[in-house]
Amino acid sequence: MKKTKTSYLLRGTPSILLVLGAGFVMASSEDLREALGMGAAVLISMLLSSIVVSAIHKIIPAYAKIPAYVMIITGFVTLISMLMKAFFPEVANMLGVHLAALSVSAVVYRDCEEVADHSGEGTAIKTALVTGVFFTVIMVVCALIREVLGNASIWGQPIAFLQDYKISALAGAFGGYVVLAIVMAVINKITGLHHHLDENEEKEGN
Amino acid sequence: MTPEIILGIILTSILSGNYALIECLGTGAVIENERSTKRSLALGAGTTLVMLLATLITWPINKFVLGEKLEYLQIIAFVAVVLVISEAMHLVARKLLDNYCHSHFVKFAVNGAVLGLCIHNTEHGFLEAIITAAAVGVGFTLTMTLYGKLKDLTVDEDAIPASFRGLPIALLTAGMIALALLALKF
Amino acid sequence: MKIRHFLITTAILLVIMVVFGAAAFGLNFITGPMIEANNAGAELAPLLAVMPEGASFGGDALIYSSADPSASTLVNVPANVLSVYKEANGLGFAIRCTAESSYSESPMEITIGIDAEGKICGIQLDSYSDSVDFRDNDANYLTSYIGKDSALADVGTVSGATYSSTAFKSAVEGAMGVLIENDLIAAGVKSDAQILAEMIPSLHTGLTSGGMLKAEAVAASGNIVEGYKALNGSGYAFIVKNGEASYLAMVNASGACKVYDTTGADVTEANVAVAEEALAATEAVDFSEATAKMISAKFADASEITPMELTTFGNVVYACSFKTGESTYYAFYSRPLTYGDNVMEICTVIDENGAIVDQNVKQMAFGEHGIEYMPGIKDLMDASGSVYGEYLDRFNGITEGTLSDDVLVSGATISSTAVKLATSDAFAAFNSIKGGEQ
Repeated sequence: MKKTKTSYLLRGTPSILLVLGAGFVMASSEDLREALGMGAAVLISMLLSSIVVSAIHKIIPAYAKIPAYVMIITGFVTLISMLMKAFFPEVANMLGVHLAALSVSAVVYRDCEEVADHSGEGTAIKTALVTGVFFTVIMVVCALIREVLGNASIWGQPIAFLQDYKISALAGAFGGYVVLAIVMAVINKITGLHHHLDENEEKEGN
Repeated sequence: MTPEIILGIILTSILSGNYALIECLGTGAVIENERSTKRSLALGAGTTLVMLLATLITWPINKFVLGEKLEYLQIIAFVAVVLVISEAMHLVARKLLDNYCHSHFVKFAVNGAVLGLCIHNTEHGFLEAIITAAAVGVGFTLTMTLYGKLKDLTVDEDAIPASFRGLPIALLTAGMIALALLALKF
Repeated sequence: MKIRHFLITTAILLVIMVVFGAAAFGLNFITGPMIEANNAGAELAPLLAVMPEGASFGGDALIYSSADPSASTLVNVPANVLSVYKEANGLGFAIRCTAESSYSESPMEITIGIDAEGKICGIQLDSYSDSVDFRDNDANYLTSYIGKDSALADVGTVSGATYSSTAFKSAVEGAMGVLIENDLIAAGVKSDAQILAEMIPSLHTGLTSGGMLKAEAVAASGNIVEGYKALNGSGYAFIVKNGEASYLAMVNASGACKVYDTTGADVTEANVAVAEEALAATEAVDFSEATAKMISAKFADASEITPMELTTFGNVVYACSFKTGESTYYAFYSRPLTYGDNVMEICTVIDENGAIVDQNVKQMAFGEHGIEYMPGIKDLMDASGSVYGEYLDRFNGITEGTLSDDVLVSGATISSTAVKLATSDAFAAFNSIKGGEQ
């Protein structure tokens, strides 16, 4: 199946991509700082691994592609997590194991496999940016809702008048699902992209 | 290690500490699952085996090779181990696994739950880590199977507002299960 | 063929791993020390918060850690002290410790800064999960510690959160005690009034609840500097000045008075004037009717109810002997404090040999809603809702020597501990009366 460059750019309807990334989106949208940190990590790891993959995909035999790409992504995530622990220890602490789990995230992997593997660096960079920014925005929106309403704080600073009206369930695991679901529904409404899982879509977890 | 502790680990891993639903590790693999019960169970068993083998190898690596000095290599070393294990399993039972998976088994098996488990397990003793791995695997399998089954049951798409169809309703459903499991947290 | 693929794949993975491993190794020269500094910084953040600006805790600031007590030169460190740090420029010490009360879901974590002169320069709660937050009840409570030496003069407890604030206070005292014990700071000097006030709980259980002073303050007058009136009618405690010296005067429900000096010695005989002044400030309460009612509830044919003077200081507010048939019994009516400072009424009837014949708790008076909080006690009630049949039967035949924790009820610890305390007070009163007769 031959795909055009445009289709790579727009291929990820939010819903399909988000299924794959739902785990880390929910895990890292409790707090605004956390969301931005994860967003940056997603963006950078996607960008760098796409570039590397599009540069070397010809020399990797087909049967070794999956593990090799995952390994490349992991390499970048390792470096990112070292930098984050050094420069943003608080954020790294909040993200914890989820930062590491990003290395086996299907979102990043798909990006490498489908885009970088088949097209040039230019498209790969664009797609990585678009997807990365998309995830960052989703996480920031979710985090805003969850941090302000669930924890009555913003950027870690308590909001005085909301202290007595915390909806603490929003800050927990359940809140992650509900808020993401609502945000997605709103996006669906706005874009009119009603989600139907494409029968032919490859699916894998993150 | 008393029987109570073992039971505690097992119950926590399956219920209130469920990786896919509560810890948000490997969530994607669960909520996109539309496989039949039989396939879900088989795939879950495969993943559980990967978890067990991975813990069996990564725990000593972390303890005796990496230690505190080389901690920064933890992620890359663990992912490499998990990749090699799932590649090896793929080698042994390729047809079977790919068939159950609808796709490449390695893509499925190398997920956040497996890696997260290996990292969490470095904080436990060896025996505890192995039990946790098995229990998390069982929890993962059950959740995935349950979720696949649930999708069969929700048939009336018209009852769902258009914008909520697809992922949003899938997330809400997962959230409900998560809420029920959270109620078991002490 | 497939095995070859597997091996090649593994080789490729190895190559990628080596490449990134090398990159990570290189990067670690930059990030490694930073991460280490970050980890150390996170540990020190609460310490810096309680010390004056410019404090630093580099190098070997950690002079004690509960993780490895044997590596420290400090001795006699209580288990709740987690770590002791010595500030590098001689500004003082910082101590991290925990405290736990019966209302703590998990122990509170406290960081205390103590300057070189042994005064508290900063104090903060790093984690707190008690059911009542004493900072809500008294916003200035933590601030009241600032500038105090180990005597903690004028630092009280927070009403409505007595257990939590008492646990907090004693943790602070314990932490400062470590420095004093190891000659790192000088002990603060307690005022005479403070020393005397601290003696009250051990001398008069009627003015306590859960081992802590629980009484209504009485206004100072004349030589009386401080006064405490029991919430249950069991007497008074006064701190009285006589010339240069201060004394503690205790009054029980029968109007007996004892005077103690700051060393805890009984100096009543030498200080009759002090005792008289204390007695003049008290009001007698008559508990004879209440006692008679409780006796007749169980001993319908009780006769010759003869009041007896109490010489002990406790929860017993009235004592008498009575006869039924051929036997003589002694009844001790006590009013210990229970949950929420409510008064419980207990009548302990003891025979000539010192064994309990009957224990009657007329009213487990823990407030209208108290029962809901105490499922343990609820189980002990019979259908009528006020008689605690099985529970009270546990006391029958018990003597002073056999009174044990068996009479405690889990889930109703505070109430049943109060009943036990009242029972032991009754035995004490019985012994002193019997001793007086012989």
